[in-house]
Amino acid sequence: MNEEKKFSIDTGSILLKLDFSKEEPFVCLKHKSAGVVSNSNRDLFQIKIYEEILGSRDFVLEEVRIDDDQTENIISAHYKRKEDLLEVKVFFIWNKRSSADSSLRILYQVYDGYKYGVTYDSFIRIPFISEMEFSGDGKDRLLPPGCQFRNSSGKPSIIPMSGKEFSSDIRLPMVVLGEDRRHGYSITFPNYSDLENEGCVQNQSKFFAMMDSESSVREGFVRMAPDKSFNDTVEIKLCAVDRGWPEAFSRYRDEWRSEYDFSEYSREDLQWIKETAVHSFLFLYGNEGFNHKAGKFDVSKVLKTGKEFGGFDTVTLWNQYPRLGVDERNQWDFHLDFPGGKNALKEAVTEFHKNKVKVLLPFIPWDRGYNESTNSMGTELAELIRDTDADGYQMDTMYSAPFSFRKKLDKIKKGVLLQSQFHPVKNHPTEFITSSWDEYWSHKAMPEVDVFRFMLPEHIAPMVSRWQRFEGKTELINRAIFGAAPIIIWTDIFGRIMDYSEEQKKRICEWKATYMKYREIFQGKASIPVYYKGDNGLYCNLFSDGGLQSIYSFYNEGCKNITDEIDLWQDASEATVIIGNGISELKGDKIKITLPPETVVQILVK
Amino acid sequence: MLKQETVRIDEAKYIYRVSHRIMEGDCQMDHGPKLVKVGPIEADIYCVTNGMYYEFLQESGYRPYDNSGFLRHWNAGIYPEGYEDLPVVWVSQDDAKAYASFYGKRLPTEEEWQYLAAGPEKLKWPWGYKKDYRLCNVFGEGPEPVNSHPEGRSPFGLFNMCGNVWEYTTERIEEKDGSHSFITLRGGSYYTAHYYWHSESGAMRNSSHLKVHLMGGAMDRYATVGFRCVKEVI
Repeated sequence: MNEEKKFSIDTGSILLKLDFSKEEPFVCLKHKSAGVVSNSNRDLFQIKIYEEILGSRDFVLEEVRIDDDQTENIISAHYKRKEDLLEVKVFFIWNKRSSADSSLRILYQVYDGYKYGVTYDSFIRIPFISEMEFSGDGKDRLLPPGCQFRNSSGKPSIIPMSGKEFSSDIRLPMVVLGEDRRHGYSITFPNYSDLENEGCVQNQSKFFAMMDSESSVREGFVRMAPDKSFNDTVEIKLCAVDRGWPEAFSRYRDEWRSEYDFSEYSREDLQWIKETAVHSFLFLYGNEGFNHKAGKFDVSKVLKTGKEFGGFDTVTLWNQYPRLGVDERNQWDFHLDFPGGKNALKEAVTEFHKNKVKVLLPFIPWDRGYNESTNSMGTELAELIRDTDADGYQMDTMYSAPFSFRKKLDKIKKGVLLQSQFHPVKNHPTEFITSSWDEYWSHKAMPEVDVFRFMLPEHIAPMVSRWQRFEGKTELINRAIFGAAPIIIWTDIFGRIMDYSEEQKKRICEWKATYMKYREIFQGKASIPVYYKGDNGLYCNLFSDGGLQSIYSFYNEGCKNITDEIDLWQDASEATVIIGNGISELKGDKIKITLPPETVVQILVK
Repeated sequence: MLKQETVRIDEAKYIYRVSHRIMEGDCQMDHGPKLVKVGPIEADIYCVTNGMYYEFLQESGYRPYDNSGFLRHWNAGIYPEGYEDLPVVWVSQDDAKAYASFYGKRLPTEEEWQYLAAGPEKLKWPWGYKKDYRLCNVFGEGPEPVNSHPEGRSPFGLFNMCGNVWEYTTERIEEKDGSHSFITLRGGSYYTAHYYWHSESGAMRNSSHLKVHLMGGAMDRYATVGFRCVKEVI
């Protein structure tokens, strides 16, 4: 056995001291740039099993050693508890080149020899997560990984991937900040697969990543399911931050993106969706876009309606659900039997194109007949584009799609958009489904942003919430402006007409003009969700393409005017209100803002 | 070839109520509960067959203005051999109304249809209170003759009010703002689509209906929807 038991790990941003001769081997942690030392005398882990809580002191340290190779250092500690047939390995891994990566990875592997021959419940707690402090002076602020910020209704302000926490690989960081809310630590939960749901029992990092309150983080026990092998049980990545939540988010986003190839988003023929802001979801059962007496599409009526919203940039022509299933006709038959057939559809598409409106058609995957295959459906999709010259598909209920669809469509026509109803969640579909809806239902939705919109801003996700009434539509518009998102106008909801008021239409017009003017900043890859949240009810998103201009999008959640000052992300000399009724002023490295209640105000800073 | 038979339904009152699966959006009409009066009427015991509809076309000279999908299952103006006693399908509500009108009849109202199926005891199914697939044509390969499943008749002796083919009622709901027109179907059919989001079908309760928007042309004719008629009497 290696006799050395005291270690200092210097990653460049943090200094961690370990002493495996002590009952509490986690000696302390130092934030190097802030010079703050904290987190003294902690255990490495706690395991709850057989109605006992066991710390590392309850195990025998079999071995601890330090090794390295050309790029990494690793400390490996192996604990055994023979009477319970339990073993734990803890690894500390850090990069030799801190300029490349100044974080520390801590990996746990738990072995359960099944003491009683069967599998008993067991739980693990990680002090590096649950006891993490910055200064420990009582002024720290913890941002739980499953919910960094809550609005006054108690809802998350940064919503995860449309409730698909289990199948999305986006796991936001947990952040602990000191009193200045700038210096602190970020903990992320690496995952190496796009399938880490409840079926993947051994790796429990996802459950730590989903902890959404300080109490759940501090309590900290997570059910684990070890077996008679050393598989990864929990892994965390710890690093220091100097610019608070924005830095932690930005760093995590860079890591997440590095696992993807987003070159599809740069395809010249698919850029058009980035130049759209107002989308129409048109229900052909009604008369919004179809004259049933004449049996013809009524493009001019759609265009006229669109003008009230600043002009529709796309229109989705929907005529299948909820009608499918009365008889055996499928979605492809519908295009033949709808008055005028495919020719009428093509004429309508041509008319829309003349007016610079793109046309999406529905794809209903669940309508797949038993005589159909992925191959045959891809062919149908391509042939329908060939026959109608439509510009893409709105893929109902989907969050994934076969890549063969993309290939078949590309052979027929360039620039055909694939837009799924839900954000794509598997790796490859995220790379080639370049648009999806940001859809929400009936909860209070402000202030709130969609995390995917900030992780992958080039993925255009228009916002929609079909059943909102007047108040909800106001909130939807606020949500679209606050999160700088395009919006879907859907007013005939399966036969129920739910229109916008004239004032709401005016605001959408105004938003479209603003979005289109500054869309390159809004779609910038350096944007930060909830860049700032004040205790006074002020929320701010930051939109930036990394250039010299940025846009601060404020929302006042309260019922009184708010005046506040927040730190600028980068130096600036000019601030201009571009939408909303607010007052802004630059004061050194801060921006002073005054805005009325329940309003969104955006400030262009340069 | 089967001939139509009718049964007299005396005037009656009952508390009408419809409840059904909501396929997002509901249907904009009165579902009760409310006390309604039906009858006196004479009701067709059978759905109108291909044979009966063929006779109608010969006698009336009826041709729809838009014949998209009209009698799609026929060849050269006549039904296939062996189809004479199957319910006529691939007809629109207008085509059905034309038939009824020609013979001095009409389609049943929603309230009438439900009473014809459920009777004064307001049975859940035409034959009683318990679902029983043996008494109707559901999950089948196609429609069966209109006089099939006599054991599943309604209290007034009407055949196949559950399953076989959906049936039109006379209502056509026109939204006041002109935005939509829709009708409702009754009784379910032999065909059931496979997925959750597909329209429901199979055996439908007497007190249930299915909303379908009118879209025009062949979209308003179906392989699974037929009709029966009623006649107002003194």
